[in-house]
Amino acid sequence: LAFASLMLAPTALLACKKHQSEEMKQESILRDELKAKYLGEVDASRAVGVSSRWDVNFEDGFGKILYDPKEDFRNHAFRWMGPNSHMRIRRHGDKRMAIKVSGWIHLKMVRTFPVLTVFINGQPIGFTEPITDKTDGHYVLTAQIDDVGLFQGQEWADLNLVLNGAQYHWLDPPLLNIAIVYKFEYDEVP
Amino acid sequence: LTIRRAIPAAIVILAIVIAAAFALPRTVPQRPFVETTVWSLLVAASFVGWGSLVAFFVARKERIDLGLRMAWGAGVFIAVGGFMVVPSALGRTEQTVLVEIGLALAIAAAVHDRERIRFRALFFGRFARKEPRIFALVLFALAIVALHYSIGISENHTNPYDDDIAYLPFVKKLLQTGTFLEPFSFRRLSALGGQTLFVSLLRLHSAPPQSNAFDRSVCVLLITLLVVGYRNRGRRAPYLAIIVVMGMLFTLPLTAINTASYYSGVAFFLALFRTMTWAGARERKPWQSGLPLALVAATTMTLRQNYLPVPVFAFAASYGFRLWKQRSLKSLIEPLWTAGLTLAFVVPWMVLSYQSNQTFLYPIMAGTFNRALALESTDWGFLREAKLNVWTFIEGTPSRAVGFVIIAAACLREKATRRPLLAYAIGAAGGFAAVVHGLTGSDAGNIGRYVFGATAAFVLATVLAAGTERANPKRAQLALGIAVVGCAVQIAFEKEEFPIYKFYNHGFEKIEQLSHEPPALEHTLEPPEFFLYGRLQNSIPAGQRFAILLDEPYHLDYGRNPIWNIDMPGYSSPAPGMPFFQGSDKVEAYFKQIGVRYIAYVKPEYSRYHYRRDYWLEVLVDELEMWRAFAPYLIDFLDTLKAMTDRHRVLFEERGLVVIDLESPK
Repeated sequence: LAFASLMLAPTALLACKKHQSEEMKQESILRDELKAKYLGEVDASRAVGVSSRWDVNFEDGFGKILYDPKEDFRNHAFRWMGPNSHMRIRRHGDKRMAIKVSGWIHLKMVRTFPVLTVFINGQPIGFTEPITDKTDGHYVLTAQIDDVGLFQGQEWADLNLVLNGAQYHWLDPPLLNIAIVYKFEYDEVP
Repeated sequence: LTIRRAIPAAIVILAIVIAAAFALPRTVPQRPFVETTVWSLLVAASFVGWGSLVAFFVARKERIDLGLRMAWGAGVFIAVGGFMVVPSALGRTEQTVLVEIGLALAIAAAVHDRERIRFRALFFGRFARKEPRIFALVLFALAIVALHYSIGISENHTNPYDDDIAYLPFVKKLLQTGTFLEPFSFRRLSALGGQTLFVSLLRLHSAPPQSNAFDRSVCVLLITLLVVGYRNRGRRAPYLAIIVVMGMLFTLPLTAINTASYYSGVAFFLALFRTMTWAGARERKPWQSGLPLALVAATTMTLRQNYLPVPVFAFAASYGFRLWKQRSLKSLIEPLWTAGLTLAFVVPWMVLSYQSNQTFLYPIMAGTFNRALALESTDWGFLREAKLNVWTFIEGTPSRAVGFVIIAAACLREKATRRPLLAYAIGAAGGFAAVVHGLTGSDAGNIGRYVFGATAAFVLATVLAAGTERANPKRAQLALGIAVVGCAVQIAFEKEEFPIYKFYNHGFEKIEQLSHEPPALEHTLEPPEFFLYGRLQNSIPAGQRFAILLDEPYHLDYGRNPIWNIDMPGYSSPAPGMPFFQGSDKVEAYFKQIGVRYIAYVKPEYSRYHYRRDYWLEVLVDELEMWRAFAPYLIDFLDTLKAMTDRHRVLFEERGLVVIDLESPK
């Protein structure tokens, strides 16, 4: 036990929470603005919509960014996603935030009309109607964070996109190739 | 009869003399494979020579094996080299003289130890007669070591994003100017410089692409000698355990991607464990134990910045155990000697770091580093850090062996007061956690390369300790069994993306190709780029400083001009700091302010790898935060260069390489 404690102690000591300074945060925002500008100049803005940024991180349950056709990052950018896909979003002070997720479901694979729900720290804040072949499987999910209390006083919160209609293959869900997200928008409510 | 007894030692001396006579004169063209192999062995012998001098002073009557001597001797190079590099006196001539003195010391040591050399020769003769099958197995194992050594000499792959733009130029700069000051270079900031010195020693008789020779040849030899030569109170680990653990090391996927420290980490961490074991074997005068410990610790610390915590944690634990047992103020004297000497050997490298990047110790003191480009993730917490630790352990280390070996180490009851294995394990665990903590913006694959040295050395150390521990022999045997099974499991586990046969096929091809290269003096086989870079440099007046953003700056002549390598724009720049995202006028004013009139760069559309603008545009949406953060800086700087070129006179332009004069308008 003493041996194990000694081995683990350094991790426990070092793994304290880090906070980004305001100066660094501003630099991150500036970098993201430039990112959008640079990619916009070469007609590659679609990649921005599915990339991690200063206030959004794509996590477990999402595949890497892919392009269709795959050779060029200027093409349609998207990520495969699983039945429960995890993101982290950052609060903008006390501002109310709007979320808009656009994507597509491979209905021939799921053989049902699934519903996509968005959760913040485990609380549902929005969902789609059943996604049907009327839209060829395309969906748009909108939701709004009106209460910053959802962040529970933290800088970052968990955001989960839960797709009912696929409940297997939990370890590497993006490999299912059943659903994609091709744009994730996270903006302050005007 | 006396002469006959000295024959084995005479053969060793003759081999050194013949090898030196073959390699040292630079007037006769030699085959590159033979020349570099012979020279690298001479460097190793020189390490042994310097280490023998250390052993002469600290352990005159003890038997110090070749591996320890070699590690201590390498430590002398770091200690002496540190004092020479600060006044810019560690160039080609000085390095050659250091090696030559080491060879003379090795010859003196062979004379001094002639009886021991004879005894070893007799032992091998007897061993071959008594245990012919085991001896054949040992010969086979030695053949594998020789094969790896030759592959390290012949491997001419250097990567275009670390080696070609930074590590190889550092080596050339050190050889040509006696120092290497690079205020703009993030890679220079990230290590105190020990690895660069060692690579430059080998570079004295090799071509730039052979820069893997130190890490993958000399250090593999050092690891082998450290393992084979290990004794604990006269006891050695079983041969079969040694063969299994070395087999594990050689069959691990080679995840090194550049010429930075990889096997050298394993070698010097193992040397650290070995020296701690040696220091605890008997009580000596405090400075006598402290000196070798300090030499090895200082060497380890200068190889990579992220190696720094391991000796600190390990020494603290080791001396802590000793103090706990002895409970006397007297036991504080040796730690003070060790800490003082370590500091004395590392301080010159820290001064060099200050000369180069205005920091004595990055990352604690930022110096020229741009804190806005921190390598840590912005969204972080305890669970995330724990996750990255676990992920790095599983993906980035030989985790199957390490898992077993941790159990084996926990089973061991070390008799020695300093508990060297446990102390080292604490050092390695502390170093592991510290590296992960500092690189949270990266991923397990990359971090794994940085922790490989300490974890692989931990596996080797545990097998050695378990194989020789006398206290509670049943537990020791159990521990050895578990550790050996762990190593066997690791050997049996083959990662799909790193099949072993590919490594050996590739290695044989490389040996064949290099051995076919004809005898040559330096530069006669230089590629066309060498002459292209020469023409570029000739467009700038000799003695004038210029800054560069080039794919292969190791073709430049660092003796002709003072050159600053911008390397990865954004991470590092001298005060007041290079402005970014504010337009080219401010950047131009900045360069003028710090005395840079000329800038040489490669146009993004001609860059063969690292400075391709289109590539970095794609990296803007990379999954790794540290690359997403860096990409805008490089793109901005490439655009700035273009804007400045539009305003100023172009002195040189050929195959996409451009030189501009900031004092001359278009």
